[in-house]
Amino acid sequence: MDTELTYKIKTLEDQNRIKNELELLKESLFEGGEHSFETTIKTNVRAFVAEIVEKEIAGKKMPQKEYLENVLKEIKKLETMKVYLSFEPTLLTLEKFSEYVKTNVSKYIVMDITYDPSLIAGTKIIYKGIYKDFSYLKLFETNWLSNREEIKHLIAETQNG
Amino acid sequence: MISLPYYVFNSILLFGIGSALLIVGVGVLYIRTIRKYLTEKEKRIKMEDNLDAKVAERIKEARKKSEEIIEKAVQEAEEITQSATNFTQKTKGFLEKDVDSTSKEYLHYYQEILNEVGKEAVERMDNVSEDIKGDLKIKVEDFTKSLYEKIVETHSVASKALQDTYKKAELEVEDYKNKRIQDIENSLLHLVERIVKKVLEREISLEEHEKLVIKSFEEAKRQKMFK
Repeated sequence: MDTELTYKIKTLEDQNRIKNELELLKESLFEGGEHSFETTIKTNVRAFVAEIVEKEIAGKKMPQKEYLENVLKEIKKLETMKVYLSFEPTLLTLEKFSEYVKTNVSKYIVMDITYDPSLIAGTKIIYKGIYKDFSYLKLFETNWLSNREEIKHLIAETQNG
Repeated sequence: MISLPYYVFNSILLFGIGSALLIVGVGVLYIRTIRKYLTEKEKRIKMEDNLDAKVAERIKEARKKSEEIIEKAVQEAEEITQSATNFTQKTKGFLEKDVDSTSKEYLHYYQEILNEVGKEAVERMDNVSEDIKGDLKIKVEDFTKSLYEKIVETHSVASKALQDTYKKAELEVEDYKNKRIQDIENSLLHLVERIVKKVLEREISLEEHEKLVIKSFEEAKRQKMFK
């Protein structure tokens, strides 16, 4: 089932959080009073999530339980792409990365972000067991090693004035 | 009453008579012996008295004679002593003269001998000295030659050892120098590397980081990582 929530999930953290909210809503279906679905969706679920859920239940004309089970099933199917960054990204940065991935690669991909300052710049990616290093650390080390003798020569020249 | 046989009675009678005769004989013999003893004793006493008188007289005579002899002996002894003293004095004079002259002669004689022996000793010593000198010279020359050879040999060995040690030390110094230069170069490179990294990290803006990550995604897609 296609749901807008898939597009809202950028990171693994987002996936877990939305999954927990949907499971809470699913459990509230069997509760009453202050733990009822209506109360829970207003008090324990973020606004944008609640808005999408209410809109899609109404639009698809599906029972709440069926909708929630399908959406949960869809969310659990999302594939993780591990991404190493040399900086700590802002929310906007994550949205940019997610937009690119979902548009150019697949909307069923969710990023698992890890901060690694040694990378200098660029990124390292692990997806479906494949590892690629596009960091500047690798570029730097490759160039540094190949130009090591030249750099030593430059250092010697600097020392000799 | 018991009656003895006749022969027993005769025997006892004979034994009794024999015994009586024996006792009488023994008694007579005893009396005679006593008498003889007493007579002899009386004679001896008389003889002793006579002997004592004679002995005393003889002793007196002997004493007198001995005194005379002693007196004579003393007189003769004095005479002998006197003559001996005279002789000794004379002899002493002669002996002193003889000893003196003999001593002088012997002294002179010994002096001559000593001089001769001395001369001979000096001559011999001179010869010995010359011989020793010759031997010593040869030995000193041999020793000097041997010593020189040893010194040359030792100098050669020491020189070689010194050269080897110097070369080894030079190599060690060179190795150490190269190692130190290598260490310094590595330290410098490591330092430059760290500085470059830090500069890059600081100099790259957030926007540039984002662009570089997007570029990485594009490269991953180009390499068909997401197929």
